[in-house]
Amino acid sequence: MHAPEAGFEILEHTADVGVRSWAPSLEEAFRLSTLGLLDIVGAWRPGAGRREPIEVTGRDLGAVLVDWLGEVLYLQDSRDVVVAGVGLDEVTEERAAGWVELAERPEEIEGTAVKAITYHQLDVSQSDGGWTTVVYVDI
Amino acid sequence: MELIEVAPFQWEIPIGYVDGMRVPGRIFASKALLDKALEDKAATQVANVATLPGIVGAALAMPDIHWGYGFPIGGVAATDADAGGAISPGGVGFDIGCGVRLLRSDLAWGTEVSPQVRQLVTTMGKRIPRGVGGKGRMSLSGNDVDRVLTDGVKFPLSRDIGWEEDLETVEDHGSIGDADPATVSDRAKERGGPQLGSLGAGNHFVELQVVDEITDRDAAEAMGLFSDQVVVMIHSGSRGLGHQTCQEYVRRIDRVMPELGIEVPDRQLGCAPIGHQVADEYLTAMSAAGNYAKANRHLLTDAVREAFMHTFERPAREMGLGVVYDVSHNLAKMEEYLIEGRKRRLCVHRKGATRAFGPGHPELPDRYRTIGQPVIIPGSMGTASYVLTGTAEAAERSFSSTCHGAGRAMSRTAAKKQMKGEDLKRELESRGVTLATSQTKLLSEEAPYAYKDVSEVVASCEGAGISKIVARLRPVGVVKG
Repeated sequence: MHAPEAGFEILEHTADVGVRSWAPSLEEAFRLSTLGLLDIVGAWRPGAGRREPIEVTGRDLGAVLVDWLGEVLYLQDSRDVVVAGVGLDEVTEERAAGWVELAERPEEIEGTAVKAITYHQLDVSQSDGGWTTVVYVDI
Repeated sequence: MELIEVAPFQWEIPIGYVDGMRVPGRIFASKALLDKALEDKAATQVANVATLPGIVGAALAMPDIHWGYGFPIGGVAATDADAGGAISPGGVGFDIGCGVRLLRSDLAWGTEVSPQVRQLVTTMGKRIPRGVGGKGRMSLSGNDVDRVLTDGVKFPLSRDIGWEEDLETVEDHGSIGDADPATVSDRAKERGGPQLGSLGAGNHFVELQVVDEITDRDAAEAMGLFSDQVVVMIHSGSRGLGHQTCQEYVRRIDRVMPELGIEVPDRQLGCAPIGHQVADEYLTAMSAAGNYAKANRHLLTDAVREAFMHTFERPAREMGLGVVYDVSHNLAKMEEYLIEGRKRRLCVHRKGATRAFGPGHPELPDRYRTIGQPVIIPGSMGTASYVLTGTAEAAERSFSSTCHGAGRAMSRTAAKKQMKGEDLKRELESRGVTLATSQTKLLSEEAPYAYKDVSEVVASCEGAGISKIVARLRPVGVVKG
């Protein structure tokens, strides 16, 4: 059986957790990595929301991914909201641009607070079928 | 490669274990705890830390060492500030200033508290904001955040929250001196400002405990501890403010590393030499976040005192709810040590390790001058916790550092698979531990079996001579995020 061509999985780590995502395009791999992060936090509630543009820059693809996820986490935590939608318009070696949609949080959020996104074992790489990302977060 | 036991409970990782090591690594542990660290690849992380520019002595790890990101958790590294030594935000961690505060009381468990334990724990649970996000107990306006970052515990005290004498037994007398709020970004202030006075989630907790066994009478007496006494342990950090601050400085340092010509084996070990603008700004921002963490534990203390007053209908002072000690286990500090007969100014990174000054150290409050600095060691949920003191020997063996807790042995996913949260709650309650949790489903992520044996951790610290056991505490009530 072949793995689905796009998806994400949560990786185990003694103290922390990671997200591996894979997809035919870099933009989709970044989007799925974002869904992995929100799955850990318990703050993914697809639906209607207020759109917030995000643009980040970095010195390579890994740094761009860390900054992108860091920005989503910052918006979610500082505004104390949930994320209703996420999309990436463009990802390059130096930059990512896209948006998230934010919505009011319910009283209870079932998830783990994520403190930050780390550079530990960070990987964004291309293979035959598309792109894979690996990133660990501190919880 | 075999590790050599160079002294009791001290294992050396020789230079060459990984490329680029400038000094050896050294793990303080029993043989059993060492084997766990080796299984976990944490020893490789100790060796990686030994490659940091300007590191002196050895890259150290405490007995509760486990695999972290970049630095191991339980890691200590001292770099020479005047000889190219670097500071690494990853060597402090994202939860800057995270630590523990222990409150004492005059109340006996058996006769006074146990009949009302459920009401007390439930009231604490209601008064302590916790879980993912949410608002804290103190709302800040104008430049209040900056005052918290500069003044630490003194800020809530200026608003009549807490007792003046609390300051005496908080590390750094309640505030770290070299904090500069201007080096903390508006985004970090925006993220963490509203959360001041909240517990957070994950392994943070407030625990009601009973003094179970005293092994050092003089030290216990100096701390106001006695058998069957009820005490409260508060474990929390700098919330979103510290996390955002670390995230931003790791990023800034990651960007300047190529031009500084520094290479590290793991990108999360990114560092910059002390004296470089980004390093110096990080130091003052880290101290500011450390002050936020102290103020945060101070506000949680206020919630605990309120819960006691509400439950027992007596003033908190009458119940003797004073602070035994408040100490961080995620911080870097400039400290002086004698190295090869010469006094040197070192930047001591402690990530999941506690400072442990021995008797007579000038920074200790008068009441602890003869016994050494109290060290508060939280166990895993439902197991024992400990009170230790620092030793004079720790200065030369471990840059005055010791352990910080039990140390994880199992991933959160694996822990959840082993037992359901509901079952664990039932089991803990059947063992006499009353729980107030916001998420029962995730409770087993923090189950006792996911951690190492804290008793073996503290025994290893005592065996290595880097701290001394004073008292064992057993839990009777837990408030979790």
